[in-house]
Amino acid sequence: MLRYTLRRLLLTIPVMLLVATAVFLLLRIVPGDPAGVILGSDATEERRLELRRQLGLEDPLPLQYVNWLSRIARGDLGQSIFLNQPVTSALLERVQPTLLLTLLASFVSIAIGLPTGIIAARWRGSWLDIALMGVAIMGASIPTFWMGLNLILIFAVFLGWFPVAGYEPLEKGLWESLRYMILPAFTLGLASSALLARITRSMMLDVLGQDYVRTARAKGLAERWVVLRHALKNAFIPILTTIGIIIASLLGGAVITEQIFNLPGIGRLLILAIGRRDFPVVQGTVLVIAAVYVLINLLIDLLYSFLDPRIRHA
Amino acid sequence: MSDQNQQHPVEPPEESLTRRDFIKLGASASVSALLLAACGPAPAASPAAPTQVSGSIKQPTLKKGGVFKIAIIGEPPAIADAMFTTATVTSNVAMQFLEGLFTRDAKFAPKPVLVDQYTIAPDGKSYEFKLRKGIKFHNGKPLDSADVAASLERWGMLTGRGQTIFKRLDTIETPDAQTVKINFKDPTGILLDYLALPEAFILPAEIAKAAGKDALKKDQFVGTGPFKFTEYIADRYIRMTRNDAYAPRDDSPDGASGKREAYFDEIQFIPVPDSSVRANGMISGEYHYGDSLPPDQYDVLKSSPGVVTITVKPYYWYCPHFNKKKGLFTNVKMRHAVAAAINAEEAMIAGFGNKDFIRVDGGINAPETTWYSKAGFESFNKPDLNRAKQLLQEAGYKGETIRWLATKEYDYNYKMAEYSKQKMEAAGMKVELIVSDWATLVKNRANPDVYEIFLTGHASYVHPATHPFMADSWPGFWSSPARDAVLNKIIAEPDPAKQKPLYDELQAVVYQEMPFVKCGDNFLLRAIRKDIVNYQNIPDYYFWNVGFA
Amino acid sequence: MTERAATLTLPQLIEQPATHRSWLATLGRRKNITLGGIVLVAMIAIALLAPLIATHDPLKLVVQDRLQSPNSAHLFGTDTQGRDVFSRVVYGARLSLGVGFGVSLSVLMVGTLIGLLAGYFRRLDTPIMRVMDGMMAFPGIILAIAIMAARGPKVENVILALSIVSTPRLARVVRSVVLSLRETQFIEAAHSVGCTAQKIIRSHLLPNCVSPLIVQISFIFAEAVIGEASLSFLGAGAPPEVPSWGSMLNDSRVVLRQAPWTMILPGVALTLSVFALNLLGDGLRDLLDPRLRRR
Repeated sequence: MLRYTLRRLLLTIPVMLLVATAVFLLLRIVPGDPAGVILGSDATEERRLELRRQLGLEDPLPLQYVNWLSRIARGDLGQSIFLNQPVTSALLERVQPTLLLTLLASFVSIAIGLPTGIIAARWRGSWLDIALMGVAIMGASIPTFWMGLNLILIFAVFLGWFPVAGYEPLEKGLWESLRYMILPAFTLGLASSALLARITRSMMLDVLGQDYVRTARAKGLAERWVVLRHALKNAFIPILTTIGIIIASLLGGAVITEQIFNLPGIGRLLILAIGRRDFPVVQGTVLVIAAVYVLINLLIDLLYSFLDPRIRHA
Repeated sequence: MSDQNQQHPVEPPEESLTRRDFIKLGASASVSALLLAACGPAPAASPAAPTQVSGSIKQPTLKKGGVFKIAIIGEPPAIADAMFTTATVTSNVAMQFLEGLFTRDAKFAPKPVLVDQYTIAPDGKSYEFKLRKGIKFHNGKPLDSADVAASLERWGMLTGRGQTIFKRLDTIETPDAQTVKINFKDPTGILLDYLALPEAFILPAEIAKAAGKDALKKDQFVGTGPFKFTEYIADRYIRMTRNDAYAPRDDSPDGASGKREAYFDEIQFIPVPDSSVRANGMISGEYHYGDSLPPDQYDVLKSSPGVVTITVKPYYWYCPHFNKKKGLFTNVKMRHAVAAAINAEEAMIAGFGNKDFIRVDGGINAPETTWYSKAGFESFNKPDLNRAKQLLQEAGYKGETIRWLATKEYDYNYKMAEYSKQKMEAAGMKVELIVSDWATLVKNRANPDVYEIFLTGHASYVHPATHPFMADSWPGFWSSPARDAVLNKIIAEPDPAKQKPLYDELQAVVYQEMPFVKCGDNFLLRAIRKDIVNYQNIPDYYFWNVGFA
Repeated sequence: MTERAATLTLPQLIEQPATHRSWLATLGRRKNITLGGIVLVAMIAIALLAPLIATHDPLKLVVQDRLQSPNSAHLFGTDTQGRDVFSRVVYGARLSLGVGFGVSLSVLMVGTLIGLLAGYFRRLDTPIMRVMDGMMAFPGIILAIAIMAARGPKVENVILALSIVSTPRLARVVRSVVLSLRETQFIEAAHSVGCTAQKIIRSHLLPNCVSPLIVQISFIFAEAVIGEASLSFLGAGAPPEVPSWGSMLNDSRVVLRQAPWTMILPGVALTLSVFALNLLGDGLRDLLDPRLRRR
């Protein structure tokens, strides 16, 4: 197991190197000038060129690339051009909103998706099952930004229950912070709750077909107990894995939600940084997101191979 | 993000003031230039309630305290270092806590802030400033002449205006802690106008020297203003708190000049790039002040109970600039052909929609300013398709593609381009819109090989010599001996009264050479919550003397 | 398959087969195909016949008609530029479906090729799949935005950007099918009788990929439709003059309060299209997935 883990860890290195190179090259073919963005429309050309030199943007590309890589190797993501602070600190300032959004959205998606899936499986084939699954497919089809607009229109603009957009950090108090987070969390969580409902249902059905479940039924156990005690227990691990993957994908989905709700999170940072051509921030953030993605996948893999030794030796 | 410059206009409050009064006031302010002027309290018009404000503002009974939230159009580049960047959103933030030697009154005339008394030599070759006593920086250090000298040096390095001044500069002397003397090689007249802009702020000498050409870091924002810089989290907010040690002037407030007293405990600048979110946040009370709101929301905002709308007038004006270095538009006839093809009013409506927010006018400065001129108007907004066709023929145009750089990041930018394209094509030109984001546009427009036209806006309430296109190297590349001749005369003229005919001369050159086609002025929509009192409607807003009722 | 879980993505997770279903559910599944198919065909018809269906010129700016609420002249009202919302939605179908087809087609060709190469040639497997891993670790929407920023707002660039984002997943699916077949006896037999790689791939491996490909493509199509709308919504999509549901929704944000109708029809059209594609994909998977047939 240890050797397998080590091997898998080593394999992530070329993947990360590839991501690093790709993001670096991609940004260099994007036209546009960070110096022009910072200095504003009225700046003189002389100032713009001077600042480009100052920022090292006039250095040859290979030199810029090597400088950047060697920094990363030392754990330094570099200095933001636009924000005039280290990329690491810019990222850290934005972890809270993104993390909070992701957690709350996962909560929404589990709280709605899991019971729905179980109920649909329990009464499989009934009108309830078909209705729930129909709604689930529909729910998974609504793009997050349209969902967001609708929620804003109804709950913020018409009813005035929640703020239209914005963010208050947790330090300002839990409720104060939650008020801002509820609409974004539902925007992001609803679509994945639909997904989770469908997966839960099919995994439950898988288990319900197994022999030991039939045995339990044959013993005369009430269907409720069969579903809750036997089936759910055994479907739990794959469902858990699914939830892990959903959380990882929520991190990516947070980009648009943060944009709609003006949440100062990592996703919005990335979009803004692309607009500002803040190369170090884009590079650093993409690298961190990719690393999180790779690590979550690695964990899931390890979990699987731990449960099913055949995978390790395949 | 950055054409932020486009987004902040100004409004002199007095509607009752006629233009003649206006010029008189401007002139009287400049009499000071002649001799030694004790610039004490300006007896100018008291800050009446802003005229362009919907609903009535009750007579102020200001309370100390409260947190005031301002929704600004985006993250200010370089945080608040207005010397480093030309973005207006940055200088708006800077003005609240960084002070200069001068600032501008409601008529955009320079008035002293950190300076107590000043003298200008009659030949315009030397300026002497006596600093006010008892002023301390936010870090407790007293202000002295060395701080002023060091800050001006940095200003001279970083800003276009500073460079203009420093080219003519002989020496900066600091004979004692309260005195700064600026000596020029040649007579120089626009110094006070320049020093009154938010970019010419005074930092402690050691910080100004340490920062040099780098943008200020967040721990380097130390000023003398009524608020002090407290906390900054990028894309979340800039927080300032009241400076209780502030020593205010005692002359009555006029524009940003005169007595400054902070009432709010704290003001927060919150970047909200989405204009609809700013508007919605104003209605819900999330923000107390919203900058640059969509004119489409004007009626909704006006009818919202807690909101007072503000129309900022004058603000910016808009024009397509030609590439005059290479290609088709090096030919002045081509430029006149485009001018003849475009209907200025239609272009402004296309760009800004609501008619209440535009004005069709040909001046490169607003009628509300002392710099306004009507010279050259015979060539302004004379749409004539046949004349356009004839000019094209005379210019020998053979259907070459005209590349127009546009961006959707600023709504008006794309919409005005889209409109102009239709009109130019009707006159027989072939136009290709090259749409990109702002960061790409700002780079492309500096490259004479890749375009013929781009469009942008300019503040209408700044000294005419200040417009960026007066420099040969600025995109569009307008280099003109005729312009330079007038410009040099303006800069060398210490008496503003004698500058006046020169503005006419300058604008006449603009209409002869047609380096751009001025379309019109745009007024900005802002809003403030009703429970805030004593807000003054000027383009470069400030939040001292303002508070909760 | 060494790293099976790493290959899991959400749409594949949906693929987890359901084992037990009553005749009612089975019928429900078939209905999925029918219903999804009908909606999709209707959308395609609307896109093709747009000039006949639209009541107004979708591009024409009539500034004095701006922000009209739904009325007899404008069934779904007008937008901030006085353009007819209904007509723009109708024309918007062209962009959405066009991009969907474009992405599906290019992903189908490139993704299948990559998957076959990686699955069949052991030496190519690791390098290719590491590249695919890297691409998948790159946040998709960001990758697409960066590509759009690099290449400018053109429809073909939208297709390119979204194809690049979707290719790795299809490649993975194809590779896993090929891997599972490579060691089977009939492929070994083909080897031993001297079949060329080309022939084996063409006549044995490719046909086995058809079912999963059809299923995957319907999901990739759906994602491309959402992807195009998302890019346009963020202002990084098709050129501004092309009617797009995403950019209509973006424009509607400014007038959400006084003109909510500007966001309803584009959103419904978008959701309905994606819904139809998801239904279709779901139904097809149940019909075609060999794992299901075994049961």
